[in-house]
Amino acid sequence: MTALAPRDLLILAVLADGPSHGYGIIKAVEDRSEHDVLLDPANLYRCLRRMSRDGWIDEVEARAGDDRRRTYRITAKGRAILRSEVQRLEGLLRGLRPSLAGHKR
Amino acid sequence: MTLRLYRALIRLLPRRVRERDGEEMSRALADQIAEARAPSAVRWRALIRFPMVLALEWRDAWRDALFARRVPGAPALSRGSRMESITRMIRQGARGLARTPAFSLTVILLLGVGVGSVSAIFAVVDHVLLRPLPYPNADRLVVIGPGAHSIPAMQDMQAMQSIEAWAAAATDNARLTGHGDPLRLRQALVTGGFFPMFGARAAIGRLLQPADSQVANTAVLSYGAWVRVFGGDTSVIGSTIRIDDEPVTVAGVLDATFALPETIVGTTVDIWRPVDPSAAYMTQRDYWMFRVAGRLGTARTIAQAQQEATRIANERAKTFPGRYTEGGRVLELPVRTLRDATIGNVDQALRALLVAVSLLLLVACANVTHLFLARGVGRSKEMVLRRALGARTRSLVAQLLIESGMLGAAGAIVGASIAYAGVRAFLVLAPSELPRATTITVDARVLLFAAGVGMFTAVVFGLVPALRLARRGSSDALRDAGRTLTGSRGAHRLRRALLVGEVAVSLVLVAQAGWLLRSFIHMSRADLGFRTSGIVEIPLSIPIPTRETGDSPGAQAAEWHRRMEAIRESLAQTPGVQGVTFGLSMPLEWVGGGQCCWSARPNFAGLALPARSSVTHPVSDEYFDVFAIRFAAGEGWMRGTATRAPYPAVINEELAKQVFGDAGVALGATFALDKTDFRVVGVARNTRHYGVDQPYGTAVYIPANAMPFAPDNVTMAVLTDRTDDALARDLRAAIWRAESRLPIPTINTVAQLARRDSAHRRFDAVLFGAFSIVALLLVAGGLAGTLLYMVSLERRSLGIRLALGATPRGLARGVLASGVGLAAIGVIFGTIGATFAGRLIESRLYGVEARDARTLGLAVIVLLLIALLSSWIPARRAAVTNPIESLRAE
Repeated sequence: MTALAPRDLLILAVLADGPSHGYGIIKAVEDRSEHDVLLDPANLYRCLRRMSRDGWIDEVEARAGDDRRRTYRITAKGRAILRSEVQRLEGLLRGLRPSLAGHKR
Repeated sequence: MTLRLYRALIRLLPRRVRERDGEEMSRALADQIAEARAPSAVRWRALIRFPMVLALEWRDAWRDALFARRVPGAPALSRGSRMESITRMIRQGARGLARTPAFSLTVILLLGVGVGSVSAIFAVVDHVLLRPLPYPNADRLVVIGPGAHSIPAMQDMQAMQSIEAWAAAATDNARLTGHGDPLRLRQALVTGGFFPMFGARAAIGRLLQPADSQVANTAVLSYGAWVRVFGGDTSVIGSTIRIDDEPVTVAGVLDATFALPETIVGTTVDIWRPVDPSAAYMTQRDYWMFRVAGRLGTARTIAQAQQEATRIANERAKTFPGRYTEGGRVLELPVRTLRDATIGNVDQALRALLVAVSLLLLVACANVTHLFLARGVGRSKEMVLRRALGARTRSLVAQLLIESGMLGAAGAIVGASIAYAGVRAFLVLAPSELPRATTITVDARVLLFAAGVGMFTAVVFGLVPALRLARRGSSDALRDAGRTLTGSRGAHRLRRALLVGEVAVSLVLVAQAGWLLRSFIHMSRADLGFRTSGIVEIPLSIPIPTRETGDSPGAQAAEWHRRMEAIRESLAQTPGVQGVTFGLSMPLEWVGGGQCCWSARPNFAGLALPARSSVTHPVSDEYFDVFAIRFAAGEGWMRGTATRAPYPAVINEELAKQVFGDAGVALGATFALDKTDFRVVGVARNTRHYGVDQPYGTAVYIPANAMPFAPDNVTMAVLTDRTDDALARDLRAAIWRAESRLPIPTINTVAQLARRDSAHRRFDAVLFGAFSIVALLLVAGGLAGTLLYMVSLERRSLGIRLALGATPRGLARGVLASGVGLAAIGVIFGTIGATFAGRLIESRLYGVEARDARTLGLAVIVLLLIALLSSWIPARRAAVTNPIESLRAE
């Protein structure tokens, strides 16, 4: 399992909390990354196209009453990928922390 | 504002992406901007990041389109890997080719020469033979021969059901006065159907209309004449100019792009006029002036038209006894397509050229293959290595093909520029009779052809070595490649076969060039039967208006003769002039199969009428002296002795033989020609009046003053030893002293005319000569290169042989023998080929037996010598082989 780009990871994480539309994802990614990852629509939709092609996410019908915006939802495969990536990162961090602690001034 | 720009950018995305997400994207951006704390940063980010996505999406779209089919079950290639592999191959190929610049440049040049010469000739063939004539329904246009007809004869033809439209045209010289010096213009008289049939359009003003033929004083100018004579002045439209002393109103100017139907009106027409309904030529059958074209009805065939024409020819021969028969046979009305009539015999000549130049390309290609083969053997290690690293055969072949494709592309570019230069050189050299020559250019079609030939040859001739190379890498390649062995046995055989083929093809080219060259030399030395040096000919056009002399042809003829004599006198007084004569046509004035001007059958007293008519030359008294005509019997008439009937006359040897069987017997015989009596005073040796390759024919020379009518045209011939620039001016001044209103006369030396007469032979000889020299160079290069290469490959075995006691001289002899031996086999095939190819050019040879053995033998010797010379260096290289070194090198 190769490492996910931070952007992909954040998008999956946002969608894991519930379905969202494009602008919702941009806003949520921005909040969660503390304004570190700033998305633009072109790149966002390119990512979304790739993820839905690979089956990580899928599209859901717009809710009645809402406007015509397309909404995305994470799939089981997406969740598995998210989980394994988070585990990989946690493992990585576990390995890193002691050395940081040892060099505390 | 930003949103609109963003939407425009979205429109640039591939369609699938745009339709799927375009709307969502712009809505997301709108929301983002609306809620952002710093909207300008959002805008900026969205715009600046867009182009990268755009590029990536297009790359994906192309990749998907190119590699849409994936092997089911096979793992999908990672993103862009196939595209990347092609770009990588191209980059790798370029690097490889740049590493061996000598190889690459040689291949590119070889391909360039081959492709360039083929494309140049293709441009000519394409424009002359392949393209349809630029007229509406060009495939249905026909010409009714032979030569010209009278208007009543054309009216007979109009009974033909299979032809739906008719046009006729007659050309002659006209005199334009009132615009500075009098000018001689080429004028065409056309019937109402002419312009519609050939789809002519007016550049300004209008073309001729049916009403114009009621009043003949209307004219349309050609675009060239309008610019040249009237300086492109639009005010000339509607104005009146003077043509042959008559006022004529200019109705319009013909479009500049109008291509003249050369078979109907020749290659230049300055002014177009409607036929004059009141003129004698409209009703009289004697005026054989008009060339006739017709358009077949839809679904009618030329065979049907011919059938009808033959019926009309037979009927009119019965209706008008004696008029439409020749030597007892009915004068046929052959129907030909306009295309055939225009292209004529050039067809065969151009095809021969195309064959020759294709052979040249073949030789170049063989050399390219040699080079690829040689390079291939050198690269077999690389191939084995790459295969060992996991490359598959397919990708190795692809790599090699990409390399030869790149060479082909470069060769095509070089070839296109050579073609461009070649076409220009061709047109400078080409004989003026080449039809449609004025429109030949290197255009998109020719460039496409060059590119196609270049790529095709490179890929095909690169493919053989490529496959050979790529197949290696199995077990035997590992075995072979460890040592730089001699290349496989197959490669050897291929290389030898190529050389044999090259030699054979070159021999064909050299033999053809030799025949054509000999034919040209033969022709330039041929005895024409008259003096050609120091004579200038000046054609003049001097109509005698009936209002000056009345209607009597005799009175007109007398007036004509008086004025001609005045011009002759005036010319004779010019300093440096030794003699002057005039007549209806002078030697070589009409070359290339055309004939002028008056044929008749002399009716010898007490003998049957000759089967065919003789060309009748009315000439002034000095003709035989000026042209130094030799006599088989008797002599020319003395000046001043031709005063009354029976007038003295001279017949040529051919006529004397046909009528009397011998020249001497003819002397003193009398004959009648057009109701005038003549007595034979001399029998002249035959002359090539119409050009060196034309048959002698039968000819009668009569005194100019015995001519029963006044012709419009006359040609003066001046014998002089002057060659200075002032000669032409002095002669013109002399003519104008006698006839002040004549247009500027053209002055040709007979030598120039003779050159024009042999132009197409010179052209053939030069072109084929150039081809064969290039072919010989290619053969020499190919032979030397291949032998050198073989020697370098066989170093090891040469070394062993030296070590075993062979002498260096013996080794060298072996190499020489193999080079000359290959050439000898090639020569055998080439001799067979040349004998067949000789038939192609047979009709273009003059005075040389086609397949003449001496020339062929010379060509064989030349090729064997070249083989010997080009084997020399490789042989010496073999002789200096050092056994120790060459063995250690392994």
